[in-house]
Amino acid sequence: MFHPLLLTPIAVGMALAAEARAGTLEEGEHVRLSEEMRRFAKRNAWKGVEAAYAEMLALEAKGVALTFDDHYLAAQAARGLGDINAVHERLSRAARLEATEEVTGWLSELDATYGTVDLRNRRKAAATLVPAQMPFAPDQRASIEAAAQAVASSGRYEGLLPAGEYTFGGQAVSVKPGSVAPAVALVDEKAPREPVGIAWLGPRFSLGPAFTSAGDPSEVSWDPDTFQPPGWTGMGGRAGVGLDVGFGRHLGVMAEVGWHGGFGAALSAADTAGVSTALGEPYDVRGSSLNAGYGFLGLGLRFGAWWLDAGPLWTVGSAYTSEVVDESDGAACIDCVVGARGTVMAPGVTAGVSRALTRVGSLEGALSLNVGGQNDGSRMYTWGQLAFTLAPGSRRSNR
Amino acid sequence: MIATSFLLPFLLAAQAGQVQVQHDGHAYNPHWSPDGKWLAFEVNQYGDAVDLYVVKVVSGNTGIPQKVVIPGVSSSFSSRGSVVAAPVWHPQGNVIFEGSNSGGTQRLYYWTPGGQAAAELLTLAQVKGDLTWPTLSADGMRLAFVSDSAGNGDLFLWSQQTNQVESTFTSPFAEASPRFSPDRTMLAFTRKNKGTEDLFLWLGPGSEPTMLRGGNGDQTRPVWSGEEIVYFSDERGEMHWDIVVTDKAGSERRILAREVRLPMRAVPALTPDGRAVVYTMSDPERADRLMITTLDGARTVEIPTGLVACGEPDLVDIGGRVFVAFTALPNAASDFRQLHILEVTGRLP
Repeated sequence: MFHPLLLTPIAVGMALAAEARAGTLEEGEHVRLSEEMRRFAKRNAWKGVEAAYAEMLALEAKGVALTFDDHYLAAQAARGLGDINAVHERLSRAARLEATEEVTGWLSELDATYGTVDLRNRRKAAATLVPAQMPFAPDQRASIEAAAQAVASSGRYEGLLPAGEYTFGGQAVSVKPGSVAPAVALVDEKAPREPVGIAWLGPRFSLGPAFTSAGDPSEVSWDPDTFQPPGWTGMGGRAGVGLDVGFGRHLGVMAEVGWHGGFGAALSAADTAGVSTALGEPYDVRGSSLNAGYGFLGLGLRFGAWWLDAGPLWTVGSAYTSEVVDESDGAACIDCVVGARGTVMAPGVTAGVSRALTRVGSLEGALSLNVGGQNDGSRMYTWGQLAFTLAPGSRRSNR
Repeated sequence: MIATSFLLPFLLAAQAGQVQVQHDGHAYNPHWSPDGKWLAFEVNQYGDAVDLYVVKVVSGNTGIPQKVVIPGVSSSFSSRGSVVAAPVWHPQGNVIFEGSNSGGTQRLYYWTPGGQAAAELLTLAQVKGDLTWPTLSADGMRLAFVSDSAGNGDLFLWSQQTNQVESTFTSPFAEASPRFSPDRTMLAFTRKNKGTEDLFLWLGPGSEPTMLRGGNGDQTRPVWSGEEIVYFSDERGEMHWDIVVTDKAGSERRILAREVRLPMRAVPALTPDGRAVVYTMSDPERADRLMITTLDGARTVEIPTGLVACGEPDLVDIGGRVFVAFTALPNAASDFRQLHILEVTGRLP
């Protein structure tokens, strides 16, 4: 009978033989790669050397011991390909195996000619790395080109760079031999955040001529129950006083109260000759008019000398107009003058643009063009004004 | 002509220090680094190899020369079959040279003494072919060299700032031995034409070269001294070499020295101030001394060395002290030429 225990030493022996055979194969592959590396190196074919070294590193992970020559040639390959950090790492490995003069000398040269940098580009736009002067040594040129490529593609390069002066995204970088340069991180410059607070505060005055148009009603009526006289237009003016407050560089609010007047033309003498009023009295020729007070709440924007403002408006006042009524139209008389006086209560909106021109004490004087539109339910009142405005100057103004 | 010159022989031979080269072979072609701290030279084994060595020099005294190894050679002791030669120095302290392994393409390499391994200066992607005759402008920003990528040797320029290689002019002839003018705008060079070598001047991009000197024999290895060009000529007869100086128009020409020894590769050696040329004689009886002749031909100084078959001089000024490196046989029975360094401060004409 064949005893099963006899299988154990046989199996162990087979396993050991297989392991020894595998080691021999890997060592053989290492020899082949070493020879291949040397052939590539003689032709300055550094990509070939690099590929062979990569295969060697895989063998090393399986237990094959790499030699001084492997690391030394690989360092030359890394130099040829512009990877100066790999040069340093491979030379250090070679030096640990055999600290020859050529390796220690090379490492010393790297320390004497290279410094360490940490360059990061966090800007949206690409940043370039430009040396003040390209060095002579090709390995230094290659390392600069590799670093420039890295920051262009990935936005970051961390490692060795030849000593010298550079600009990185327009920022000066000085690399000293054997030292670590301060990290450089490029960021987009943001506009400084406006501190919360009062940028301007003060009284506000506005004065200037205005043109007012009281539009026609949807239907003219002289009926006392649906009394709606026709529209009219006229020049007048507006004057206001208020308070103007700014928050930050651009934004502000304002409140203003004032007077709004408009004066239309009177009926002509020819039209009213022999015409009496509805009460039978001689007609006293008077023009149409509007006398109103207004209140305005506005939002203001300032961009340097240019100011914009807009907001709701409320006008309360009285208006008068007169007409010779020659049709019945529901009037109490025919061929008489009917004078109409009534109360105006019209909400609306207004907007203006101003150009600051001068400084008056702590206030700035500006020429303003204001327009507005209001409706009292029967008709539209529209107006435009050219005004001189005094308002507080901004404490953060660039002007 | 040296009729206007007079000789000032020194009675006592100067004591030249000898650089210890560990390997057999003839030392040739020494070149000082600009700061005088290093000396590069070749060792020619006359087999199939030329090696390049660099030695540190302190006050004229040298250490152990270090062999320059090109990539793919595993150590400093196994470069049989390689040619590593023709060193020139960059102002930043790198040495540039020609190098090839046996059967390989001749390329340009650079090396930093005491630093990293030698590496290729210009890649095949930048310029193809065998690259020879490297020379630098005084500021080191421009390199001129010869490439045979188009068949015959043509002159190319490389810019340090742009890392770009550009050709100079098209030519069916073989050009060689380029040298930048002091302002780096012009190149003096030689061209092989109908069996002889002629001296040419190129004024820069867009211009065609003009011949400064042709005719019988070879006009070779030009070097600038201010506005003048000094070169070797054997137009009097094959292997009868003279040192000649001409202006850049080629109109004025005078022979400074006759029957000189032609260096292996070097141009005429000028003193650091550029006012005189240093050379040795081909006559064995007079080859034991260094000869120094001013470029106006007015004065010549002889410096006996006590050595045999002197040649290949190169000078450097180190803080006001002038040293000359040269090769010579230590004595008539010596097998190999050795490298020697001699201080000549105060002995220049």
